[in-house]
Amino acid sequence: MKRSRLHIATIAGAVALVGATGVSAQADLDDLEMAHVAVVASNIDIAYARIALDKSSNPEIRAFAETMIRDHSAVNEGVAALADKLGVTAKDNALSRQLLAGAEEIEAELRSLEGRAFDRRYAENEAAYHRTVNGVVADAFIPNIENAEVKAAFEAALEVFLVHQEHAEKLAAMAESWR
Amino acid sequence: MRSLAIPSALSLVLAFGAVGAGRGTGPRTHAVEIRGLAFAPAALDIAVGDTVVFTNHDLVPHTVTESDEAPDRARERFDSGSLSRGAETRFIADEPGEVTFFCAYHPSMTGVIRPR
Repeated sequence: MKRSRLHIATIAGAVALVGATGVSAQADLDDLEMAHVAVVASNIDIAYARIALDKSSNPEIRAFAETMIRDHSAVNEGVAALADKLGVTAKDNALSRQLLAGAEEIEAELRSLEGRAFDRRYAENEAAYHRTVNGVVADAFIPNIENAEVKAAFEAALEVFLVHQEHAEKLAAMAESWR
Repeated sequence: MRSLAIPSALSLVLAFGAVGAGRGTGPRTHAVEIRGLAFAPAALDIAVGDTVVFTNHDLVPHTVTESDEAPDRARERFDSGSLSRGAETRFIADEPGEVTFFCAYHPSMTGVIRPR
């Protein structure tokens, strides 16, 4: 399986979003590593959503968080089913680990907030997170995926995540008035 | 106007019945695909008594939920509940009007049925 060289500017954007720093080299990822990054990114968003359900009483925030859990879980199940079909396993890699480390910082920040301050930060982070991860998937991952079925799965997932992004951006705009 | 949500196995049988009736002047069955987080077609003109079958082809669940824009209607608001991949729901209109609907999980997904 070929390894795709992903430009640091793109990866750094994704990593910086979740709080990690110090990415200073190009990342070579094959299809299975990109699949792992996608699953990790979904799991991170599910973790954010669970915090939102714990902390927020805002119905818009709660509905969005429930959709994030529902959709990202479905996408991850789709990835697992495809991996089973292909007889492969998504591979852990440095970018996945960096994403997880960065997400811990965001999770800590979210847990420290209450009320409208939490709702605003959650909405803002969701908009930024989807905007950046979608950019990575569209511009760095999909053009470099070798397996046609894996590429199709990423393209289908991106359709979902772009709708999430649009929804999150509307939520973030609404949140501006929650002061 | 009357709407029904029927489990997919039963709805398949009923759909064939409706198609059969549609060969003459009776009610017809129309398909709306949920694909790529959109209803296709998003607007549908039908005859009173026709059936619309919505099928979810997406990886993620969706709903077909009637917009709450006609609070004075006598019938119950139509709501399919969660439709996982491959699941379907059916809507039967028995009076003219305009029925707008959306996905409760993804509110940017909207559509309209116009029974005449």
